[in-house]
Amino acid sequence: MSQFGTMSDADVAAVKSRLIQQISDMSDAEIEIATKSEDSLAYYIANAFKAFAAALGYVVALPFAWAATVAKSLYDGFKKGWSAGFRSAGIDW
Amino acid sequence: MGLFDSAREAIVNALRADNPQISQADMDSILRQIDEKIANEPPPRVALIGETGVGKSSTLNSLFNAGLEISHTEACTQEAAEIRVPLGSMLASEMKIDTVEADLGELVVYDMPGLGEGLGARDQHLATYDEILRRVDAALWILDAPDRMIEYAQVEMARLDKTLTEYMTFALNKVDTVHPGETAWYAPANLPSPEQEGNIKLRMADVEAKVREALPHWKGRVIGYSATRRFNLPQLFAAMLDGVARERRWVLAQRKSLADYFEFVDSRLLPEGGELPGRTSTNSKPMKDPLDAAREALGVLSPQQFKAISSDKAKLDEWLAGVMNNPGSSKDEV
Ligand SMILES: Nc1nc2c(ncn2[C@@H]2O[C@H](COP(=O)(O)OP(=O)(O)OP(=O)(O)O)[C@@H](O)[C@H]2O)c(=O)[nH]1
Ligand SMILES: [Mg+2]
Repeated sequence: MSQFGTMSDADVAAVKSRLIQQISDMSDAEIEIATKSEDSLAYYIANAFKAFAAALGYVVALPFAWAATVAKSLYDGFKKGWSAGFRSAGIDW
Repeated sequence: MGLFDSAREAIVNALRADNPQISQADMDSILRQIDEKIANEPPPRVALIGETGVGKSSTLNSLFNAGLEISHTEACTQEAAEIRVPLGSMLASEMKIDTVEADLGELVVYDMPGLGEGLGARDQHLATYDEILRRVDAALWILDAPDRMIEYAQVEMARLDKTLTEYMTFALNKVDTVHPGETAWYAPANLPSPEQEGNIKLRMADVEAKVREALPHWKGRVIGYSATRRFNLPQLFAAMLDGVARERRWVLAQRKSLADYFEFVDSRLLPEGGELPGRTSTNSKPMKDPLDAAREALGVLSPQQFKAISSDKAKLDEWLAGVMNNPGSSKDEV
């Protein structure tokens, strides 16, 4: 018997690991959302910038690649933060 | 300075650094115009397709905290009048267009009945679908996971213009009621039982195969979720966002306000110290880094998630310096 009624400790451990998988899936989706919306805002502003600058006679360079860089650095940092959190909880990530 | 201003500034700074030829006065004028454009950006338009009771309203509430604020406003009536459908069409009278004042901003919601069997005037229905799918930013086709409504509807869907269904998200709601039924749901962890999980996977594969058969060009996703259990909501939001045009995704993401999944999980089952996606902490301090603020302004990551990211401060600073000082150089790393 464990703290969860009739469940054995092994069952509780299985549920916990399933929950960690769920958290990981959720965080992957959150990262995808963050990445795509950030890229979108950059794209939107950069296009507006280009159009308004053109009206004033400027031809501008658009550093589109930087959005992809944000995404990558965000992703790496995020994963690292997660792993650290789980390691401190004694969970091998 | 507001959070959104910080977001805009982080992006604009990169553009400014890359374009030193623009005078200060002209730069100020350009930024003013960008501000105006952002302020006047129309709210996201979302179509929810599905039979009565599949959970269209519940889904909207769970993704945007649209809550009790649904109202039929003047603006909606005008939108409705713009739609060119034959008057007296059954769908035109059943379809509801609402301007919803959600937690984080306005949404225009097209509440559409499914293409189920027994509907008259099929061509008129399709014409209305065509008209609406052309004007919305995102479309969710919501199905009751245990039901089998899709068999008939897929035939009709195949008659629509390909571009309109290319990124359609098929949202299988109520996975908690999948066989052997709601009592099998493992409530303390807010997860399906192993048996349910197997059946949910089978059901998703079945829907996916049927959609692919009807719509060979389809690149969307099938997501199994539960609006009331708040299960798989980030996955559903990500799939929906994927179908939105690149320049409009931020507008939808700005309104994202997912119902808290972890509120329904017994805290004894949660890993201690791990950051929980979407959870906001009451004692979190406002971020001063403009890029953190940018993400927060977009509503895409919680303060706890920011904390996790900024725990790798050295890397963030290094990257930030690179972008702010010399945006061009970051291209090499991509
Ligand atoms: N078990 C379960 N019930 C749900 C879920 N989502 C919605 N429901 C229930 O299904 C019923 C219908 O939900 P609504 O959101 O009103 O459905 P709708 O599609 O907006 O219905 P109409 O407005 O009549 O077209 C309500 O009783 C909800 O509580 C779910 O994920 N699981
Ligand atoms: Mg409804």
